[in-house]
Amino acid sequence: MSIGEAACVSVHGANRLGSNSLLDLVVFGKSAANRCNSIIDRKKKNPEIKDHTVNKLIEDFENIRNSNGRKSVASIRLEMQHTMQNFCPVYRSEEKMLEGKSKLLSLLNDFKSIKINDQSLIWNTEVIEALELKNLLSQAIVSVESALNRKESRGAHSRIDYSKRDDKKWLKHSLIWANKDGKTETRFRKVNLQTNSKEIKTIEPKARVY
Amino acid sequence: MVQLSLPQHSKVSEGKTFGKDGKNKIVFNVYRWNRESGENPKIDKFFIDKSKLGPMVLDALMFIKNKIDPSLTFRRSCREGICGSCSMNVNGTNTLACLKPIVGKEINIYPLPHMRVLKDLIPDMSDFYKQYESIQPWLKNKTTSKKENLQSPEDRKKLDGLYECVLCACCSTSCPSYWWNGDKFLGPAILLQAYRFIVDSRDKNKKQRLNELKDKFKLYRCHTIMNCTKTCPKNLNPAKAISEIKKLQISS
Repeated sequence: MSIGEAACVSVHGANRLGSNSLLDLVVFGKSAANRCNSIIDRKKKNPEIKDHTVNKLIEDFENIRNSNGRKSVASIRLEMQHTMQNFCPVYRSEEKMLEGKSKLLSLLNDFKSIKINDQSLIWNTEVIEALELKNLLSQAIVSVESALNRKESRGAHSRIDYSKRDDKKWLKHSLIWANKDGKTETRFRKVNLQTNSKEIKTIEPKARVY
Repeated sequence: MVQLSLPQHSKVSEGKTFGKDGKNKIVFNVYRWNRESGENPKIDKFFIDKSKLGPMVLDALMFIKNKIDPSLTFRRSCREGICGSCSMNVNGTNTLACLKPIVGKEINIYPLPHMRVLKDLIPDMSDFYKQYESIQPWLKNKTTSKKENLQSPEDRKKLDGLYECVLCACCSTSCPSYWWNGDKFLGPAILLQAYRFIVDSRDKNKKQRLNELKDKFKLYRCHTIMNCTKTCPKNLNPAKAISEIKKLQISS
């Protein structure tokens, strides 16, 4: 299950970018708890975690913790932030985004030889930040990929080279997978336009204007 | 005459020095301790050019972590005084590092006093959170209704000065009574939270809440020293909340 900003839609529907964190937590948190209550069998034992799953996680953790490369977490993170700010801002174009994507891929490569100073196992925030950065880099790559892919403008996605909203081709969700080398795979999902209740009628989608 | 001194393994010694003194330089003396090293706590010195820093003490800590010593460990999240994570002792006063401007040539940064330290500037907050849980910080109301639980603007006003608390623990860890009886005295932060639920018109458990606090230690270890109110980085008044609870104890 996924709630809040990670869940794509919120209490306010698709009309609001991001979400209202507390409101979403209260509404969908309760809803998720109710759902868990109905699908989880309390008497059943938890499934055993496979050794290779655990080993993989520990191996990844140890690789990062003992990594003794060139660049620091903070320097790669700052470069990533600048890259996203300069090459994939609100007003974006194919040319800039392609440049940004190649920069991100080279940062992902830098990350493989990251420099960790603190090998401590107690409250090691340097390793935590490195793990966060690993996730942030994949997030940045899928963000650029989906923005490159979507050849229209919609909401906060404003393409200089495709300034019109195009419901015919693009009224759909992008689903993007990235592997550890930053190679991506794109699929789409239909937008659910129907409400769940008879009391509220479906509102036809239309362009948002001010 | 009796001489008091810290136990051997608690004595703080001089640590590493990063950078040199000079024009426009500020020195940050930062408490460092990592149990894994087996060594005593140390004070590291960081000389940093003021022009390179943002305005707040937290900016300096992040500068140190990002550019000088990535192993420096502290809690931080929102960097705008709303999450309560970066509470620490700066120049002798408990405060949120993100709300404390960098003023002067020398800044001393220690963890919150009288708490067990886990590493560097990170104190162990488990007991504090257990005490918070003990006051049952949620609205208790037996009647269940499908409608909203409404409150008049006047009743809502009673929560002003209480709901803003971010549970940073600056007040509790500045309180001498909490230092000596931290295991039994609830401390100002938790008592302010207790009062927040006692005065909430939507809570129907006032009597039981007041009874729970009728205790020599839980409430009455407060001797109105007022360090809590003086130190609160959100400018709240826990001492007043505590005295309101005492007043209600007498009148009800």
